[in-house]
Amino acid sequence: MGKFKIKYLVLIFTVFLMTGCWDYVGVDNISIVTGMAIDKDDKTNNYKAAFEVVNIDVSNKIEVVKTEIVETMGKTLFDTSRNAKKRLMNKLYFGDMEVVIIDKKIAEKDGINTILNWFLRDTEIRGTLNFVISEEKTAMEILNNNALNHPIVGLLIKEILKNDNGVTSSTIYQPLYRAYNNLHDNGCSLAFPIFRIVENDGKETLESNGIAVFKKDKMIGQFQSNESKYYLFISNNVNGGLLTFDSNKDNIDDITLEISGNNTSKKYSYEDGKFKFLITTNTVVHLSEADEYHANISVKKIKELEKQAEQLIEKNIQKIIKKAKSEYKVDVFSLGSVVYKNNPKLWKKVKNDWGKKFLETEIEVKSDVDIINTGFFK
Amino acid sequence: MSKNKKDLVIDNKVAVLNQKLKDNLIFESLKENLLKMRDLFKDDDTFVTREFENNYDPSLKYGLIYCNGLIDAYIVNENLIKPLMTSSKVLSKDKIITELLSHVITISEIKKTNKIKDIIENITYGDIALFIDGVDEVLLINTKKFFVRPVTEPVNEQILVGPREGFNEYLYVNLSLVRRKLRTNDLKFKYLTLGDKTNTQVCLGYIDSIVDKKILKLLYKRLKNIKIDGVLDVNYLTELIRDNSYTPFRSTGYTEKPDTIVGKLLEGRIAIFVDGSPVVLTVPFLFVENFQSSEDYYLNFFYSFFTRLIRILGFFFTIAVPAIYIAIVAFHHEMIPTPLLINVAIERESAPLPASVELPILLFVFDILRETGIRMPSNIGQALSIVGALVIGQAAVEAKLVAAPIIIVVAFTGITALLVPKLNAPIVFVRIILFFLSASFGLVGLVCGLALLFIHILNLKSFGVSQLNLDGQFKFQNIKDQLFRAPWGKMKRRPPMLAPGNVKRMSKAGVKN
Repeated sequence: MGKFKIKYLVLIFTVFLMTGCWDYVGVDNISIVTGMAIDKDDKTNNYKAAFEVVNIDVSNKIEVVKTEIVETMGKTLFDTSRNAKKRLMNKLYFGDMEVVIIDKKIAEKDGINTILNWFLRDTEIRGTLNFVISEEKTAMEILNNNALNHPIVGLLIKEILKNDNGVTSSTIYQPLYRAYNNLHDNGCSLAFPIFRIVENDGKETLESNGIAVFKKDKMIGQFQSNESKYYLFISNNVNGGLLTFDSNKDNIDDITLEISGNNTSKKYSYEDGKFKFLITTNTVVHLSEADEYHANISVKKIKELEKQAEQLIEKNIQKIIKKAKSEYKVDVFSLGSVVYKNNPKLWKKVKNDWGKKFLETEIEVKSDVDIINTGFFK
Repeated sequence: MSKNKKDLVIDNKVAVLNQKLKDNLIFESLKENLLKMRDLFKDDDTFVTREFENNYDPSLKYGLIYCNGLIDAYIVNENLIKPLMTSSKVLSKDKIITELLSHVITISEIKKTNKIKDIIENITYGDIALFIDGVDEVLLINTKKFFVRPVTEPVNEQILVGPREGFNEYLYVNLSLVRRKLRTNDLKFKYLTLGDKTNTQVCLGYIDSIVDKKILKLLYKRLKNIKIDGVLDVNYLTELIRDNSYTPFRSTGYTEKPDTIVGKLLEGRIAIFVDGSPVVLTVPFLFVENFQSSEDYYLNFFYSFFTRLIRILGFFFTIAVPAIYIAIVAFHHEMIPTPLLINVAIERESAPLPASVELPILLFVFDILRETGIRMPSNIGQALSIVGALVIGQAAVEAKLVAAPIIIVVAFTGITALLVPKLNAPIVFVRIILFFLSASFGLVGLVCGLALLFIHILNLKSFGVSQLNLDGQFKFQNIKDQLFRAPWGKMKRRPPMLAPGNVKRMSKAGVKN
């Protein structure tokens, strides 16, 4: 082998092998964190964090996996994680952490900018990490709860959020990478899912409960579960869920439509310093329950039902828009980004008093529902 | 000191005799010849000499020599000794050999020679040497009768569909099996003798109009340059005629099936038969032949494509799975889904040694078990599988000496290795090298290792032909019989690198209606 070849060999080895990361860390030498809850101590103003750590003790090999809660205090968030090591054999490993539960009070008072900061800088954290706002007294209560059908709370919450859009459309799936974008992008506003504890079969269990909406990085209010669907309609995130209403005005809901797909488009016009928005939703649904019309539903009746469903959607969307305008006085639907994306120059002009402009904006909602399947039986 | 004429004549005769002794040629005198042969085969009790005369002409003295157990006594008695003894025809001494051949001996294959070396080579292979008094030539008469293994299905190359006959240890049977399938004068068989002591007969077979003459010439050159005492199996040649000496990868193909050989000959390869070995070599060797099986061509091409893909994947898995496992478990935890990570962590928690130590130990244990399985008598095979499966597998996990995932990885690695038996030598080395690269540098090391491996394979040559010929072009012609097996109707051409002069295989692919 000539000098020439050796030179290239050395080059290859330096480039590939000397620049990589080769920390050999066996999986038994890490403490796998699956969830984290962040509270604040009222007196000292220090962070109080709780980590859900998987117990890899051999003795519970045959049983279901167990987790332990490690509770620590610290001046900063990273500090709390290092303080946790004082009680654990292995270093905390955040690569598989799925959920961070933030106390509502922190979100309302301090804002979540400082919290996001650490998670964005740390190398181990995944971009798909979920943030959840806790409605309970402390966020730790949610983490310390007995999850209903999964031994690990972190994984359970993640699955609830991930599948929500396609099944119930009752809350928002907002992983870390999207959350950060929403916080800083032009005309966007942040929203996080909310969790609470409810009683179920005599025991306490956790449940998603709508969407927390933010002004900049501070929480200013929330949409309940039944309102959340229409929030998602506006942001074009509905892939499933149900629409129920009564078709004969007796105040008993007798029709259930299952949403199988939806597309929302938002348009605006700008005249005389005033914005006008048109929100159009195109929804494809299946008729799942219609108590009074047994086997045969006429085409005419179906058209009638479609109309009623359209009215329902339009009415409810207007309702939450009104709520946002009157209670929160903030564009929580990220309508500003529609302006920014279509006309950045205009956005630059109106950016600074967008908050005010939003309140003056007239928003029209047009809904189109298409029942494509009624089921068939004799 | 002056010599007279008479002395000079005697001197000349002595010189000729001495020259004959030196050249190992035989003499005219029967007695001297037999004496010489007995002397050569001293202390060999299987060596037999037999002297007799013609009944009508006692001056016709004959001597037979042969080795016991290699000849057919019936043929010798009836077709050789009997006619020689009882022939009443007057034979002239000058043309005795011609006359014997045309009137007396009733055996088909007879050679003439005067070299002792030839005599030795042939009588040790079942011929009889007939000495005639007063003639300095010997007749080598084919009276072979060997006990050979019957033509059976090769154990290592069993197939579901297709011809089942396989080669045995007798060269002529093997040649006949091939000849029967290729009934053309285009098929050539050329003999060579290799091995100073074994004098093994080697035969090159090829189809004259297809074979690349340059490759043939190169093969002759390499074979002629071999000076070795013995050639007992084709693998002696495999290692002596290869292009790169220091690589675990093969540069010659091998098979025990005549139909495979015929298929290779038709693609322009050369077959090397070695007497005494049921395995036949083919050169040049393409890398993809490691994954091919003759059955690929007898089954539906969809199925063949699938099975060949499994074999190629099997090779990848068997070299890379331990490395991938260690890289993920020890370096890249974020690549595993959380529930799996938890399960693996729980398993690992119970194991006392780190995975990077455990895995090579168990891979070594598996190789021990495999080698034992091959070497031991088959009637204790069950005991081995119990030891392997129960003691080492289950008990080791239950005693918490090793973690269960490791056993799964080792088992998977071992099973997939059996998919590509032709690559068993490289697999063992490549696997362990990749493993250590991976255990030191994670996936980065693994990828570098695989890259170097690929470069090495691309550099492999067999008789000047690139073994893995990609030449940067993704053409159907190049891959039709590599990654998948094209339908027969689409394989109208031979591989161009093997038969550059005659690539057309099929001129019509039949009629569809």
